[in-house]
Amino acid sequence: MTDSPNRSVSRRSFLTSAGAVGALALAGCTEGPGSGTDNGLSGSIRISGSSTVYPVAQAVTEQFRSQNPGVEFNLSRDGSGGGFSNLFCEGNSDFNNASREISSDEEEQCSSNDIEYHEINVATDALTVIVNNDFASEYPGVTDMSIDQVRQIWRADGATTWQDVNGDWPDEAINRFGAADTSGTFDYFREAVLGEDANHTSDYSPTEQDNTILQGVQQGRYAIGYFGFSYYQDNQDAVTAVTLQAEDGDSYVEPTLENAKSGDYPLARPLFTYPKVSSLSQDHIAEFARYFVRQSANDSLIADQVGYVPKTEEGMQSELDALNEAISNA
Amino acid sequence: MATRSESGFGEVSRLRGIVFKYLTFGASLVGILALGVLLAYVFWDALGLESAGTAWYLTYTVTLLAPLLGFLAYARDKPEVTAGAIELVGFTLAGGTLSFAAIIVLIVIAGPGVWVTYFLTVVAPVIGLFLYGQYEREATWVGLAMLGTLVVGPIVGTLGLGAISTVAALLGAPGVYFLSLVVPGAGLAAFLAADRFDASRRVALGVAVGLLVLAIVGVPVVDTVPIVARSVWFAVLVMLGLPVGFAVTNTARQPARRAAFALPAIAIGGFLVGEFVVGAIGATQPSPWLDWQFLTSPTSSLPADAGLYPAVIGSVFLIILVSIFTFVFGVGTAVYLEEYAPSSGLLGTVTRLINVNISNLAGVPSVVYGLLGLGIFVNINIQFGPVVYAGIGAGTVLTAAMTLSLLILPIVVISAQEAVRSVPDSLRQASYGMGATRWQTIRNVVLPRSLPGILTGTILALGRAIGETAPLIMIGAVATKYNPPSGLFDTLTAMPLQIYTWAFLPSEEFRYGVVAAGVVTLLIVLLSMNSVAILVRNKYQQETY
Amino acid sequence: MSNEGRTPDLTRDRGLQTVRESTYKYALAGCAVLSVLTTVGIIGVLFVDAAEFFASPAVTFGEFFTSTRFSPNLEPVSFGIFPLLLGTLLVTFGAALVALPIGLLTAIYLSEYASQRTRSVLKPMLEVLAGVPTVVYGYFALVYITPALNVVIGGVNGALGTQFPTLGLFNGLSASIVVGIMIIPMVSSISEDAMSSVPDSLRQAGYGLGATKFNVSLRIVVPAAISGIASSFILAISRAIGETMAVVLAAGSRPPDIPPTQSAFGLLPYVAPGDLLALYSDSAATMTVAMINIAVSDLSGGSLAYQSLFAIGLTLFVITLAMNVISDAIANRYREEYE
Repeated sequence: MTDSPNRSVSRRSFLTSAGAVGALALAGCTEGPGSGTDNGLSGSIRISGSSTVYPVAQAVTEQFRSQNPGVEFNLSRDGSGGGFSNLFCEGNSDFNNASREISSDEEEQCSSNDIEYHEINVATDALTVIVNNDFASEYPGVTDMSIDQVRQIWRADGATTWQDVNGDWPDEAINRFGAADTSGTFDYFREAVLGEDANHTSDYSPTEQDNTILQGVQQGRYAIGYFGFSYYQDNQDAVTAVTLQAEDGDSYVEPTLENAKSGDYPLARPLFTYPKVSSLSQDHIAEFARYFVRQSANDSLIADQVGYVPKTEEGMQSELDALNEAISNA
Repeated sequence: MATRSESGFGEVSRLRGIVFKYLTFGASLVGILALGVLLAYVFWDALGLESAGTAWYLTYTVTLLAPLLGFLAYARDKPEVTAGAIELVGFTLAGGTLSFAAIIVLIVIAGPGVWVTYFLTVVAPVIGLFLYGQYEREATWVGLAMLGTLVVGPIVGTLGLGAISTVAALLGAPGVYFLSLVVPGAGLAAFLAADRFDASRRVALGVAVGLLVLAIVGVPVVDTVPIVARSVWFAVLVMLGLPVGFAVTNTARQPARRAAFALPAIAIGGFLVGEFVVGAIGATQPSPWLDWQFLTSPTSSLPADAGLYPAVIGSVFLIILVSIFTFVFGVGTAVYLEEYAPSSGLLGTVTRLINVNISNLAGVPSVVYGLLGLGIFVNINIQFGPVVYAGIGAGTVLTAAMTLSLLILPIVVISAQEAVRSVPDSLRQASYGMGATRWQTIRNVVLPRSLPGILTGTILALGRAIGETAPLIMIGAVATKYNPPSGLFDTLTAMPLQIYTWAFLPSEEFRYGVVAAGVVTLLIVLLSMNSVAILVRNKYQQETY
Repeated sequence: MSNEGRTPDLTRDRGLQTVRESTYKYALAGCAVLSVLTTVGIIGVLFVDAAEFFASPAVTFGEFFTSTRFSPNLEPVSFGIFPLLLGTLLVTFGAALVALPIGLLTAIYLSEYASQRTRSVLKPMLEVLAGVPTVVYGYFALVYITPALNVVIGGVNGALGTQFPTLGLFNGLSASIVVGIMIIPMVSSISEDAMSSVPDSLRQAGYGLGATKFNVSLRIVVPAAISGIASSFILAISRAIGETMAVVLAAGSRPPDIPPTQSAFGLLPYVAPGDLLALYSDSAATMTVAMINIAVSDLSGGSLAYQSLFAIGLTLFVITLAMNVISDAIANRYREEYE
């Protein structure tokens, strides 16, 4: 706080002080951002794509940069699709983050521009289904649902009241809050819960903002919603998470990072980053890609700081091997 | 009967009239008050005033606020003092803006090598030619030569970049800035002393030498402060020192205005006394989000570490490019439309259509300009024979600057047209009557008279450009950048974009702390830009008759 | 140069002069062409992609304007711009409700009542309202205005026993208020210009007939300046329609639900005021918000859903263009009246 005042004070004193006449020094005074590097890596890296993966990328780049100050990052949030079509597949970025796999259109666009890519799974987001606290305490049964019940709630022409899903539940209309259909979260949820043959209901409140879902479920007694685990982690008291059962006879699995990491939790959504293979021939980019993969198993960074599910050591190792192969081919 | 109703009408309408008058007065304050309250909240949050103790508030009320209010009350009925105070504050703000811009553009972005190259090939020759043209009015080739230099200079500079920057490296960065800023600054100071303050030749020379000596004398002092480099010192001395010196001299020379010096004395003195008292009694100080760390660090996922530095630099870089583009094209368009374009016949219809077109472009939503930028600067691949145009990059400084320039160009053109139009026709006729050509009339009569109006309009439009966010999102400006942009083709982030990125983060500390600090920084930059506009306008109003 | 050398100089200069004069003329004309190119560029960019969008068999022109659902990626996909138009309409209407009366009254005050000194203070302050960046207004609405309004609504409900709905995190009401504040100066400055250009003789005639200042202002000046006022209203509304960042931050990303229509006398459809009010308490995404959302969405680039961005952009462009043209036409009429 006192920095700037001190500065203006001292500037005043320069103006008034008439000390010894100093000659114009020729050397010294390097200016601009730090150019010294620890291990000689320097260059810039352009990362585009999904806003879901953005927090991971930001945390990883921040750490990488603290060790390699010579590397500059340009990290944008253009959405998975905007990133692929406007930047990555046009050759304008080195990495594209995506909250879904690259689509066939995008593959085509990339290959028509001779852009070769490598896919890295950097983390997993455990989609958490939530219901209202009062509702959950009145009907404890709603906190355990099978994927099939979730499907009934979210499919077009499915249940309209809670009673339609389970006869014990109240005859009240279901109030749904979910991801906007333009987001990768929506695509994942539709595919994972509804599958190919059912349509997603249009009778829900779509939004890009997680806090709208949170608030909607908090205020609507018979509401249901879903969002990324990280958001639930920060708001555990505000809403109640639903434990999910993948198949009949399976046990109900609580949404936790451990369960998602072990693969037990059914709604674990993989997050990706796609480095451009030709860029990997540059040392700083290859090193950063390796670092990114290694950090994907870093619990304190991925789980505690960002709230996503880190990779297991083995998963990380196999990604690293694949990456190293891609780097050696670059 | 008629008279009776008339008198009744009068009685009722008096009350009605008064109520209506206050209603209109109240209405005109509603918006201002609403904004005032919101600004108070955001400053409160950004400066962390909540955590300050009562003693802190009391101290500064006594040492700073009360004397300032006293000064305002005193200056209320003294237009000379008010004018002096406005001039002092305005020139200080303008000088601060200028030195800030110079540090960012010349030192951070361009660096000594690039700057000295273009200084030698473009800036110095153009200024030289201009001065020669002022001195030798008969030399009609000067204007064309300046135009030619502007075209040829950058090419020569780009070709000679390597060689010149190698030579410049021998001189060292401070040497470069000393020669390119302080020496011309000394010349300017001498000119101002002689021209504006009627100083004798000897005094003017003394002012110039004094500035050079001061620059060198300051060096050892600056060296003791780690965050101020020598080059920064030179830039600040010239860009802040000259305007402040000018304002101070101007105020000191007019006895009626001298009381205005109380304002800076109260501000600085009150602050120092307050700081001393607060330290002495150990009052709880506020814990601001907007602090030195915030202004000098890049963004971070942790609120305490987050800063705005690359975005501030990005915004300033952007605004400088936009101001160059829009000034050149805006004034060019306005002068053509007002002075050259045919106003009758078929071509007159074309002129009218262009005018209508410009006013319509001014109303096109900014998000549509974003799509335009995306379409013609980013997602494009056209081949003209051997030349392939594939855009100028997603989210680069140049793309952003050109998109924003197109966005505000219509506004600049319209205000410049008004300024050009306001030059009385009699002046033009007089100029033609003396045998001047059309261009000579424009250059010597129309432009000088309309320049203040043009500048005011341009600066206000630039204020709009600096706050625009939607076009930047559309053209893919980046959300996280740890270093400021290093060139025209590097990507950038800007202040409003960073605010937008932060505003949606769930953490309260981001929403009420970091974003508030960003908003305040943006508003302060805008305010200092507008203070320049207001200064120009005031000067203009004084000089018109 | 001395007088002697002047005669030969003149002839030499004339050649140079011609070159110089025409160089400058064409350089300046080149600048003016840029504005035309900008328009061509906007129309070209919007049309190319919008044409591709409408050419797709999955979209029909009619459906784009009549379908009541905008869900570009939710099967069955539907590209109805109607909900977005409704969002735009809500925010614009709310903003107009704030800005038009305040702006008009401000203009009357400035033009008829204010002293020279007051005016010189008030006018720059009003301009500041338009100078604050829109993203800042959005932030104000999101973090200060919405919570404050909720306190007020809670208080009113408690005191009067009314049932006003509390506002969602993102809502149309706070967006309307900030957009309204933002466009006040547009209304006030253009209206004031129009009122100031009403000839003083009209006012004097009014006073001569014994009218009070109130009567002169409302019955003479305002009607005489009505076309200027109307043009300022239209321009301000057009600005509100195109407003983006304030709405993105304040109004959220979900288009408003289309309220159920009731019918009066069995034939006249209308919307219950309660339903309409409820719309303001909830997210009200506009056309501009949808554009930003699609631009940063996870939709893949060449897809139809992504291209709908350009169709919305084109619609927005056409609407604002039409309003500007109308406003210009009205303003031109009034300019001729007293000149």
